[in-house]
Amino acid sequence: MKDVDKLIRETLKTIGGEYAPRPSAAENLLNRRIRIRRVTRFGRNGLILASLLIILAITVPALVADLTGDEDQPLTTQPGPEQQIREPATLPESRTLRDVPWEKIGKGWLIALYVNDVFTEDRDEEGSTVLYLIDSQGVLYEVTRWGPTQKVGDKAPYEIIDWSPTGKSALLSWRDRRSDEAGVWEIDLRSTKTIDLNQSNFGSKGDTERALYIKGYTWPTGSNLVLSRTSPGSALMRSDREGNVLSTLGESGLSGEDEFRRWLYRPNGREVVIGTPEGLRLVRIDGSIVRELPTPPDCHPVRWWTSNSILAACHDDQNFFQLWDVHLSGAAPSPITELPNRVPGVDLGYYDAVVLDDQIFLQWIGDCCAGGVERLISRMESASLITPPEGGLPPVGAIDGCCNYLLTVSGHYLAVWASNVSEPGGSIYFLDPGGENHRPVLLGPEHVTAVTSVVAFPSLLPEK
Amino acid sequence: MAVTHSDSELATETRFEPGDAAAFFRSHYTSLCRLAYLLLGNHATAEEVVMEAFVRAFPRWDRIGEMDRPDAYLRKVVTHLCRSRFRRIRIELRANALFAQAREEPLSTPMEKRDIRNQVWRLVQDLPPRQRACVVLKYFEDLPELEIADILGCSVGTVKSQLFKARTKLAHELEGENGGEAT
Repeated sequence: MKDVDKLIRETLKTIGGEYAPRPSAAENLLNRRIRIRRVTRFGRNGLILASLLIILAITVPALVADLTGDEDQPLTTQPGPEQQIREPATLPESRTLRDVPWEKIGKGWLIALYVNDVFTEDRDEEGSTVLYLIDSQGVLYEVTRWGPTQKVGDKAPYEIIDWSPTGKSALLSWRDRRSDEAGVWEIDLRSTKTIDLNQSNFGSKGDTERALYIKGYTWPTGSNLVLSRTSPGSALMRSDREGNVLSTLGESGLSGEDEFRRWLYRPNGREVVIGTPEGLRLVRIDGSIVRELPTPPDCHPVRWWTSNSILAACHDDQNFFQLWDVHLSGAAPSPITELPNRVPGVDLGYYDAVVLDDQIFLQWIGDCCAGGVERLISRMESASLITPPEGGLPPVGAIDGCCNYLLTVSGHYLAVWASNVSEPGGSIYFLDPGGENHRPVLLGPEHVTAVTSVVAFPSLLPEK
Repeated sequence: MAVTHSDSELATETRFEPGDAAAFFRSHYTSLCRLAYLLLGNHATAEEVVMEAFVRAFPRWDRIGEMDRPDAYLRKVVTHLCRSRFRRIRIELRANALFAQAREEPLSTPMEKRDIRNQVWRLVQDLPPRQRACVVLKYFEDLPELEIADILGCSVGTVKSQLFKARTKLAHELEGENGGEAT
């Protein structure tokens, strides 16, 4: 192996070293381009946050269910978010919390975090973080907002972890950027009260080596939580809000890796499909195994495909993804997409799919952050890229065309989150797959960070 | 601030005043282009990506220049921009990589060495994207695993496993192609 190390190092040093572009020639070009592009955007937290948010955003939250919890626990008080902030940019027009038709929340709705920071050549100003609900027609409802985090103790959410099955609460990761403290809030969307789900409860209950992370709600009331454990050994668990583990849904001996990233509750709430390194497994919520589902190895459940089968994304040992229709009966699965063409560094395959007007639309992903929406022409046959839309959308600084992520079907549109890979934030738009009647929904104006996290309502309705 | 990963032909401890973006550009442009080229396999795209990184960075150089490691920050931007380009250039990448392989090898290199180097370079380019990024950042940039993890937005454990997989694969392929001599 040492020889291989040496060979790789020598090769890369030689090939890299032989390439010597001259900065003097490039400097003039750079000056010209900077003059042309007077203003550019860079997010305050840089690329780590951007990558994290993008990866999390394509992982539209797993749909969770649980019959053991009877009622949502009452949410207690935390100081409400700031309401009187001088905003550096005009916030999008929206309706108020009072206007939200709570009984209509369902498939096609979105919940999004919008960060109103402005960065230009001359300005570098933090604004509010706003939580919006978006209905399936694209109407915005402002739930609440948090002011800039200017001193230690100022907290603001940066990621939506999950939206409750009732639609009336959400889990938010928060961070105090001045102290690097972080945690998880649950917010009651109706009252905007938050409670702090103290992560230390989850990480240190009698075992300092244990690391537990809040991943989502249980089903159907969201009265309990889904956790993942990365040490000792990887596991997916159910717990109450104090971190008391109720059951272990899946477990492996591998520490440090998040082996059970996705899960999908059965609508009956008594069983869960979990993805494991060996394939998909149907388990009861007490953790007992119903059956191993015949799939390729390394699969995770994505969403309900039919009333008896789920859509699963499976990848081979090189992380090329393929979508499968997996029957819970144990019948043989069938592939929906082909494997990518394995061009190095380019195409990682298909990761998600939805059905709109009897057509299948696929989430294509590239390495790390790239993504786009494609239409499946016919089963297992090539697909055509439909994002970014031809001709683009109204001015949106956050869309650069490389990173479009399918969220859900909203009405007769595909809801898409578009982001710039090297910057945090982005925009939400409704894509008209049959024409050019695309609709901006929550756009990031140039210089504004805009949408940093978005989650689709966790519907368990099948796509087909 | 100390710049620890400047071009090899420049002093590694060159100090720039905060805000001296032009000096930073001149000293780091080449090394960032090399990194981008090894990630993308295409000279023109590599230079375009590095240019884009600087275009984005310069208007806010007052902040970036004050970072402890602006070079590390730019390296991260370049790595991410490279990865975002993969989709758009996939066809060109395939063609150019093959063309570049044939075109760019200096004729003065002894045939055997050149063959092995071509072999390794081809195998590195065939690695899955994340593995290739780990390999380039470790063997070309000589970065510690912690910093690679930071750049790629993943855990150190993932970097270790990606590097292990990449090395194993390269060793296996080289062994197969060279009758067991490579490992």
